[in-house]
Amino acid sequence: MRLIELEINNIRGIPHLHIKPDGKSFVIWGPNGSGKSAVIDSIDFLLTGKISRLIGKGTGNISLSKHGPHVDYKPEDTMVRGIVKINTYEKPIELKRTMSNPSELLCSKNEIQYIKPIIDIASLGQNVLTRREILKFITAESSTRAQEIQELLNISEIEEIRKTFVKLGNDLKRELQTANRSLGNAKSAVLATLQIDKYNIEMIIGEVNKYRTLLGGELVTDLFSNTIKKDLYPLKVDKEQSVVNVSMLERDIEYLNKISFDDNQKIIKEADSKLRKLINKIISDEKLLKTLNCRKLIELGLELIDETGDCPLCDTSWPQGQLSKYLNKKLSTAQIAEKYQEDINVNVNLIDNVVSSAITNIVNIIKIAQSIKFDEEVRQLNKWTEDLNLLKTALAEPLEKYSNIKFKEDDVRKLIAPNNIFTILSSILLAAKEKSPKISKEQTYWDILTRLEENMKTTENAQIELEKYSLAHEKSEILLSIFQSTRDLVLDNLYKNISNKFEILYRTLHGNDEKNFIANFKPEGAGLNFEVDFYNRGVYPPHALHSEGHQDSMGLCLFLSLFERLTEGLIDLIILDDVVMSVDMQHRRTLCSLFSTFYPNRQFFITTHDKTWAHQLLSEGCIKTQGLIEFYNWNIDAGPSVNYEADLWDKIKKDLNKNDISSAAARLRHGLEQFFSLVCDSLSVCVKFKLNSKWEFGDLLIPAMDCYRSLLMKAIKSAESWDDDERVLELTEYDSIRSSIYKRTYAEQWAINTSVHYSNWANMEKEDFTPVVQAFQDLYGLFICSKCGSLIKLAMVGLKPKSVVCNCGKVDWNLVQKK
Amino acid sequence: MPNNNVSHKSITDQILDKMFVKLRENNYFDSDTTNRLEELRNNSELDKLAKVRNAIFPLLEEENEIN
Repeated sequence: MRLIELEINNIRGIPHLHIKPDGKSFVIWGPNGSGKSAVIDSIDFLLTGKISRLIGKGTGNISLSKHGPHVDYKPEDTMVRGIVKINTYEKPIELKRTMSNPSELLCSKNEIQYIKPIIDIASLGQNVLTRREILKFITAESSTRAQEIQELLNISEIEEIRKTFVKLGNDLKRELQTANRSLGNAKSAVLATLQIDKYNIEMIIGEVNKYRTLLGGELVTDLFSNTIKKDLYPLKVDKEQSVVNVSMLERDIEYLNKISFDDNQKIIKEADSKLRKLINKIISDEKLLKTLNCRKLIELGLELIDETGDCPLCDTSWPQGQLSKYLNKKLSTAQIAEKYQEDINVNVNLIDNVVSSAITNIVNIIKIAQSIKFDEEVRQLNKWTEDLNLLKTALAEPLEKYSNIKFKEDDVRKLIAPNNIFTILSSILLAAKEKSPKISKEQTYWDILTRLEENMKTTENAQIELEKYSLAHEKSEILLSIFQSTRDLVLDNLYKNISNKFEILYRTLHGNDEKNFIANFKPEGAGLNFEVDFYNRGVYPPHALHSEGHQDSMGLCLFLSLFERLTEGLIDLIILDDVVMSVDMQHRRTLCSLFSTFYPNRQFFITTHDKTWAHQLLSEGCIKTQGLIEFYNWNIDAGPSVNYEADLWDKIKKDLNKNDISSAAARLRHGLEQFFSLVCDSLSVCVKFKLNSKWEFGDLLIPAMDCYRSLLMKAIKSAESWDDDERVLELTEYDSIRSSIYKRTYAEQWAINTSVHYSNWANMEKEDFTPVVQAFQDLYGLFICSKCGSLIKLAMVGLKPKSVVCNCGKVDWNLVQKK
Repeated sequence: MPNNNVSHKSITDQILDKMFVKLRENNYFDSDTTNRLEELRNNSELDKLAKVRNAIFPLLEEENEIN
């Protein structure tokens, strides 16, 4: 995509502007505050519906609707219109956007399908480089840099996918742990039913076979819920007998009695008392509470940190392993809190074990009480269970809930042995005995196997769940692992390519100064390490030792090396907003040739406050004369004044047609002064030194002309030495043209006769001045390649002149004679 | 010199293409799981937690069907 035309109405300091880059590179130069960046903002807005300068860190309350329109204008008064040309559609396409509806790109329905893929890429803002972006690349931490580059490369989606896979793995890991706990509980129930200590399959089968033998059954070799009572027939009992097994009820009540013994109550009382004191101590000490809360948070965080090393709570990126290290350090400093936490845990566990066991037994008793219709007793037992569950819930979060629990001190002790509870249990037992005549041992064995059968079903289900979660977790781990290894492979390769291109561009830009420059891009976890060579003294982060100017040129080279990837081959437009602020003049000039050499078919859209660089871009052939404009005298009502100064000769001719010789003369002198300063630089012309660096036209013209003639003579002599007659003829012809033009300029006369100074041009008649203008226009042409439009320049080998060349190779005068 | 008209496959596509080739070549998952994941990829839904979870762990749906 190339930009053909751009029209801006009422946007950020520009009431109205209409420019026509015509698909070619374009430069706007002007002082700070002249409205250059507003043009970039407008292109940004046209392509993306946003202005990236108004988004991101430090933009606070700034918004597009309030701060996008030019001051005093409303969003509906704004409009950016662009005409672009794309490779896949033969006609130019008109695009429009207004801030009253920034998300809507106005475009002909027929054309939208062609432009959409390009706008999708452009909407990521990847073809605009500002100095802010450069700093993002260069000075950022590795994780932030990775994020910025990922955003630029449009691979943030990859990071989102990775996070999703990591989160899934973590979720499934937690669920797997829960499934494991459920299996553990189910197995505990098996142990309780059989009154054994260890979950040993052989031992359990032995117990099952013991009861099966007593019931006349055959031995089984496997432990499954459906084999426990296999081929056993229910004993013949009447309906009521079948409901209640008094022996098992006696066993449950006996257990409750056991945990309610005085000694046990004493232990619970002490534990409750200690727990309350510890909790009071902590919640009355704000610092301690904070440390403890942090400790809990830190422990949770440490558990949740995944392989990326990022913060699991806020997703902030951390260098791998650093967050764990930081949190562990913090954890170790909270030793007092840790001691308190340990004491709390001891007492909580003590009470919780008793409460959990009690609840299990009460639930069994409630079932029997319900079967014999002891409704009031059931209600009281349910109330007891509720209280115990309440206590259990408070124990799970002691600091938050235990201190506010409705049970006072000593109530907890009573809770495991409530008043009258044993009267209730006794009455249930009595009634059960009355209603259920003493049952046979066989019935008890049957009931034990029945309970075990239920326990085993629960265990089997828990086992199946565990296997499912285990498999799912394993799958999630494989998915993440394959994804990450593939991602690393592709990104490693990508970063390697970027790194190679970056090195080539940077070496080209800095020449001998950095001829051994190397750069390392190394993905590390979710981050991206970027280190560069510092004059063969080792590799360092780019902002560690290199100057600001070097950092700027690194950012620019990095952006250019990413560009192919950024635009996916769909966008030719490279927008650079005042990005060479800290790059020195010599490197700026090399930058021009780098643009021409590496990106000859791109359309650069450049803003700069540096007039010299703007003209270097012109003289190096990066832009044509129509592609350079100047912004100046910005004011709030009219915006910037625009000087389409590059069209020097047209303007002079217009002045002449109006008989405005004074203006034409001033324009000629001003233009030539600018031009010959570039020529002197380009051909390494010897000019009288001035401490203030303010050379005037007169200081530059004659030395430049002399140098040109001298170089041409050297080139002729060189061609003669090589017996290249054709070349000699060609160069001699150039010299003849040169001589004729020199004469017509009367340059020597202006220089020798001080009374006839260049300022006298203004006093000449139109008829006299017109040939002078023509002569200087022709002189101008001597220093410019007629094919590529770049300024001719002196190529050196070491300190010796080697040749005079242009950017395209059409001009190539060998200066080295045959030995 | 860079070619203006080269259209690159996006990096995301490159990574996911390779990932699915690996998954299929090595039979890391049963083909149903891989197909479900690939469908999510085609719908740009590999960043949707619930959907990816369901692709590799479609237990709830199966259980619902059984029930």
